Amino acid sequence: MTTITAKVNNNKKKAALKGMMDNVMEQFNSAADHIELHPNIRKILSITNNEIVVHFPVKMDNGEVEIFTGYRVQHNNALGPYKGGLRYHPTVDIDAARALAMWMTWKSSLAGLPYGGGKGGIQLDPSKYSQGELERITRRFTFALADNIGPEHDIPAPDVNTNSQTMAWIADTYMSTRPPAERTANQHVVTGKPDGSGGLEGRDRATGYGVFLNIKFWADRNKVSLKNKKFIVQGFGNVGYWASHFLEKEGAKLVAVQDAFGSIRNTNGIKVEDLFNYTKVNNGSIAGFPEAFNLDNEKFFASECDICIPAALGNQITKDNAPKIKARLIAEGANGPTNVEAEKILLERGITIIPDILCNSGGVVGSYFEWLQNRNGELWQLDDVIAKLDKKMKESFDKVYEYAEREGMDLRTAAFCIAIKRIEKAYIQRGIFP
Amino acid sequence: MKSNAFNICPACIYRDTCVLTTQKSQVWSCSEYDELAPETRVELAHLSAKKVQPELAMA
Repeated sequence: MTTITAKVNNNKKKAALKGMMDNVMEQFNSAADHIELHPNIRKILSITNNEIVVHFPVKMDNGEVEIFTGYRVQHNNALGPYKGGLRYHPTVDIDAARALAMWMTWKSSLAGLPYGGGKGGIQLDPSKYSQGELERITRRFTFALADNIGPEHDIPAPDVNTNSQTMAWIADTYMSTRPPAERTANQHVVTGKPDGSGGLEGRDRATGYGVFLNIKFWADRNKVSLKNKKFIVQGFGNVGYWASHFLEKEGAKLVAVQDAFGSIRNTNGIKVEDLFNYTKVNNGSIAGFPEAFNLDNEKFFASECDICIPAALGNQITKDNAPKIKARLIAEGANGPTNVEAEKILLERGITIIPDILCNSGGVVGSYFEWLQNRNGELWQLDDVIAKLDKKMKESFDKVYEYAEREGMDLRTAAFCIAIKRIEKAYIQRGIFP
Repeated sequence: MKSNAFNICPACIYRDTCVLTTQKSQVWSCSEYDELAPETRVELAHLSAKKVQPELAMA
């Protein structure tokens, strides 16, 4: 087992992920310039606090032992414990974890949570392992991380190829390593646990509901009714489905959807629940939905609509399709769906973008509620969770919207400015030890 | 500057047919991402000479 801790006084910045994460660094530097971030704090935030690499052995089903490599990067904890996902994937490495941990710092800060940013994972292809092996890998990884995670120190959550079952194994293993009297008081070492094991009711819809709320807040601010407004959604997974579900309840009309299998449209409206039920019996695919027509995939973003919700993956709105977008509002359910060139075009065209860091933050807020629920020994009802999400998301939206109006800037820049300012304030108040 | 190879597309079951993007080299999160289903895993485990069938130990 090897533990590496980054030298915080190292002047050399660590390389960040190319592509989307280049954008994040660019956005950080741009916002830092805007707020004239203190150079010392810029130095601190440009580097990760800790980088943990663990190599650990696990016994396979056939009796052989395999060695795995796991990572946990802790970017910054000025506002509270590190918070961020754990992903299991063959291409996970320290650079990926580093960039994504930094992203989590901004996201938690903007959401007004008492969290910093972290990310990690194990380099493996889960499809090559049995469920029993995955359980042993997860438990051994948790043991290897030891006190580098903890309910008041670093709180992992599900991410690519990890789920509520993975979190339940981590929680159980971590709790088992504590003294008997402290075990149940450590359930909040992870969030995203199953309902029956400390999980939060409504956690499944938190991100999609947050996307809907942001759209609603924007509509209220602009004195626009959502009734009969047409919207399109890319990605009909958890986020896309729930955002559509709540928008339809508000009277808006889903007119086009795109997923991995194809694109469909119906200008008279696609019933969200009917489409969802269809995907359940159609291998998760929207293709061939009888109440809609096929749409050319290239033309999806050019569909006639008022609201566009890219809720699948990054780099979808580019300089090529940005000029053709008809929507007045883009609500980023996915991470990084609009690239820098496209954003420039959209802003020049007067199209509002609710940035990912704000728009899809319902998930991390839901995680915070689960953590609070466990920490306080409570069980929250769904309507409590929804009411608390409403309040928290409204606070974030209002802050960003008002800051953008006051400073005459776009919502994304405003969001980054607020996130970084909050951390700067903590450093100024506390000073730098010694 | 080190370029990062993190990309989830190669492990996704829709990688060959996915219409969402043609740039399948830098995707780090996707709502449509799916690995092989557990049932398929069990079948593959049967085919693998090295691995025995996993226990049905799902809680």
